[in-house]
Amino acid sequence: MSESESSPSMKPAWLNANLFGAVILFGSFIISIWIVMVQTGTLDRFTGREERVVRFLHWQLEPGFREALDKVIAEYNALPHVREAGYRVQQVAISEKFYSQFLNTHLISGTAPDLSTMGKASLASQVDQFYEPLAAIVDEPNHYNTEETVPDHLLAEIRRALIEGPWRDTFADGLQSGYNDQLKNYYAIPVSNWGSIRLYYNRGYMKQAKAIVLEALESEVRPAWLEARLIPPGGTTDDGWLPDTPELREWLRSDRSVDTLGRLLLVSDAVWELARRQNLPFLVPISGSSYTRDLFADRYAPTFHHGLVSEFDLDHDSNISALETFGAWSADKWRFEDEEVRAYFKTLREIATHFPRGFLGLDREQANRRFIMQNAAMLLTGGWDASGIFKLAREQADPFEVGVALLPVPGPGERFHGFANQPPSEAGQTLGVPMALYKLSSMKDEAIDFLRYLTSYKGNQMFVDHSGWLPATIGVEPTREMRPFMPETAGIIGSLHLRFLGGNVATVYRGQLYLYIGGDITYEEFVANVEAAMGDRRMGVNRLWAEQFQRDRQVDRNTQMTLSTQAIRYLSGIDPDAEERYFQILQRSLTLSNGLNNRMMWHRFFPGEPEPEF
Amino acid sequence: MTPRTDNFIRLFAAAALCWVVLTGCARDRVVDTERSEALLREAHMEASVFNYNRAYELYSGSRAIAEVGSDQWVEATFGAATSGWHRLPPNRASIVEARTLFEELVKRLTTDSPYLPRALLSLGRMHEQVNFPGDTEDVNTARGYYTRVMEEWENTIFADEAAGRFAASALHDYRDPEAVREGLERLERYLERRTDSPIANILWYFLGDKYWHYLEDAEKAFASFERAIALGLVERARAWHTYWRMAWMAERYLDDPLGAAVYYAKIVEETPRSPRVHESLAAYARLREQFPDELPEIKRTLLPHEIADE
Repeated sequence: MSESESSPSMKPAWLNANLFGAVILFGSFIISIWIVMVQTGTLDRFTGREERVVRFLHWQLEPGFREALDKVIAEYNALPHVREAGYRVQQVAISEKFYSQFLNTHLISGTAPDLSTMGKASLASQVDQFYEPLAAIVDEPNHYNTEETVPDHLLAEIRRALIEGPWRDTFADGLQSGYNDQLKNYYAIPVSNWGSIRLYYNRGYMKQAKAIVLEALESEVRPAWLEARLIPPGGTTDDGWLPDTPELREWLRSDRSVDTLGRLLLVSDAVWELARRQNLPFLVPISGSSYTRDLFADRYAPTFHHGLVSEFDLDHDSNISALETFGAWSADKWRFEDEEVRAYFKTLREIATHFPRGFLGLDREQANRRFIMQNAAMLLTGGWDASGIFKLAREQADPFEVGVALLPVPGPGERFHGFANQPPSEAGQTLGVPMALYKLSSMKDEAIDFLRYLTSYKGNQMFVDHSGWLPATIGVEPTREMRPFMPETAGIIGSLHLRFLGGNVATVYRGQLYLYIGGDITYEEFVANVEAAMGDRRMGVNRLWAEQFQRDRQVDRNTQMTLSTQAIRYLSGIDPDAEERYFQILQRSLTLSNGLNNRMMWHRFFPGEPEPEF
Repeated sequence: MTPRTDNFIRLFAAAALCWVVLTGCARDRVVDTERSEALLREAHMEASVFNYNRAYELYSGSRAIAEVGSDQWVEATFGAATSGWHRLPPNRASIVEARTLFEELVKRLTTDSPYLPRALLSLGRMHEQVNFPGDTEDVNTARGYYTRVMEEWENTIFADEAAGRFAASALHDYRDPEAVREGLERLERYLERRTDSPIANILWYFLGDKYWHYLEDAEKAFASFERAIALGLVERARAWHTYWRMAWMAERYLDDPLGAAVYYAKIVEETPRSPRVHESLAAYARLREQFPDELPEIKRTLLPHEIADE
């Protein structure tokens, strides 16, 4: 027998591909068991080296947040009473994309981190099932705020609130962001503030764009883009967006940021001109994306609709609901042809002409990167991106300065100023990164103690100084760079609820809106298609009314379920505070009126007409 | 086998069967207080986290081995009825069973048990709501339960709640303004008599909300809200919402600019972080020109960053 013939028979029969697969499977199983034992602390309990760790889960991967949190955690872990108690705090940062799956899995399996940011995860909405109520805890003062740790230079009332007041009153929003209206209890402690939406701009490009406008204004033959933008002498606002005034020229010579809608559009025109002159094919005025598109739409809605909608708020709850919007449309109280509505959409489309091509296919990250790479002069996003943008702009090979401005509204003499001249109010903004305490945590007291430290004057100031985020705690000063992101109280609220409630109308509306602002269809085509969808007998707004009636009944039943739970708790004596909560929820239950309020609204819009049923 | 022997065997078999059945039944009613209590505690925990399907099983288990009529049995029966009502998915059988359990409590309990008025109010709510597909409201039966609570627990918080529910049941007649008005005015008269109700603020707020939304009666709505505010609003953080409605009603419908100015001022002073502050300040400034001597200056509370800026 030759060697070549004999060698295959030398290999034992059991040594084959199946065995290899089985080994991999078994190995993976052992590794998984190991990881689970390590993560749950089971291994440490076996070996007697149990380490007590408070895990702090969040999805804030923006530059600065994790580093600052690490700094505060290190300070906290070094406190004598923490060292003595033998535990430590550890942050667990998970990408926004996987946060939901991660938290849902661990909530169900009973292994969720002690503290986790509320939101994102669908199961986290079952608040009472997974999270600890905090009402009694937040009523106590925060013991980390003392005469020694709270500086004297603060206003006396702020200082007193910090040292003597209940913990909840030491938050800038009075802990509204942690309050669950349905359950009438506090379930989260916010540790920061996401900040408001602002227009970021590249100071260098802004200066160059202003110079180009000034040059064009003073040239004998004005370029076409300028002629198209300006209201000609003796013309009306139908002929252009803003007038050529001494104030405009004075602004162009200044360092001031864009402060009116007309000026925003004017410098955007100039950025295109700058790109042409300097042969910068990728430079665009505004770094638009699918994310930015919705920010512009939401921010401008109150500015343009405010005057129109106050009549539609039938229940005067300061919120124009979807049904109030549909009802008013069906009852002919507003039309897409109304000046305020047409102006709103026209403005969105005009702004979108300064976005990059194919902006609907771009996401938030791509929009931010374009701005950082200096391929866009402006970007609209929130305070949560600020510290990252500032940092990256400084660290570029060709660093640049970033300016921040409010999204401007039409200025005096400009197109639409007559009815659209006020910004939306940011006064009701609540705090961010709300941390909730897991019901099955074995480190509840320790976790709460850390949250007290993090939101104390000293802890929050340290966090703010190192993260560049906004404070959650009163008296804490934001960094100079972040001040423009504090909520602006001057402004108005109230706009048409044009996001609709889902279903066919919402799908058609969104699709047609994107086609319109992308320049693919005319306004008349947009309106005709949306109104056809709204008026459709089977799939139009009447179906949305009917669906809302069903939802109202369900909400009423759910509220009754919450009431029943509180009744069981207080009658059985397992929760002495449940009786008080019962009667707080009773108000909500009574005002829901068996889910009849929207039926009444239908009746007010369409007296005598039968309610739609499907 | 003789017929006699045959009959004896038959008789024996029948007796054995009876014994098996009777001991089986007796075993069903074996009282185990300790086990029942343990199940009850577990059931409360499940109900607390809205896991009503599991709670129903546990309450039923506890009830089956509790001594009939005991406190434990009452608690378990109430729990089984409540969780049966909220079990998912709701269906006719589960709702009928829940009603039967509540009714059993109603038959057995005396008026000194807090479970009795609670069971009656629950029965009222069950009849008033549409509980499953194909179910219909039975408002008249619901009103019967509310009336009984109002009459038998007079001057208690149970009667107050029942009065509120009775008034809310009038809203089923939303197409008939007179019927709605009658229902709301009945509650108003009740509250005028029962001045020390601990939930009067909730009921006055309810009246304010409904006088406006269902009847567009700004005068009654404004007056009701004023009563609620005087007693203390439940949702202090959302007080601006009520103040704004009142200022709006006073200015637009009641020809009372002074009243409007008062509530615009309250928004600015008491709820400085509300989204209506800016509009309220502007409205207040406008109205103040009309009443330079009557309106005090607003001492506006500063927001934290404004304090830092100063």
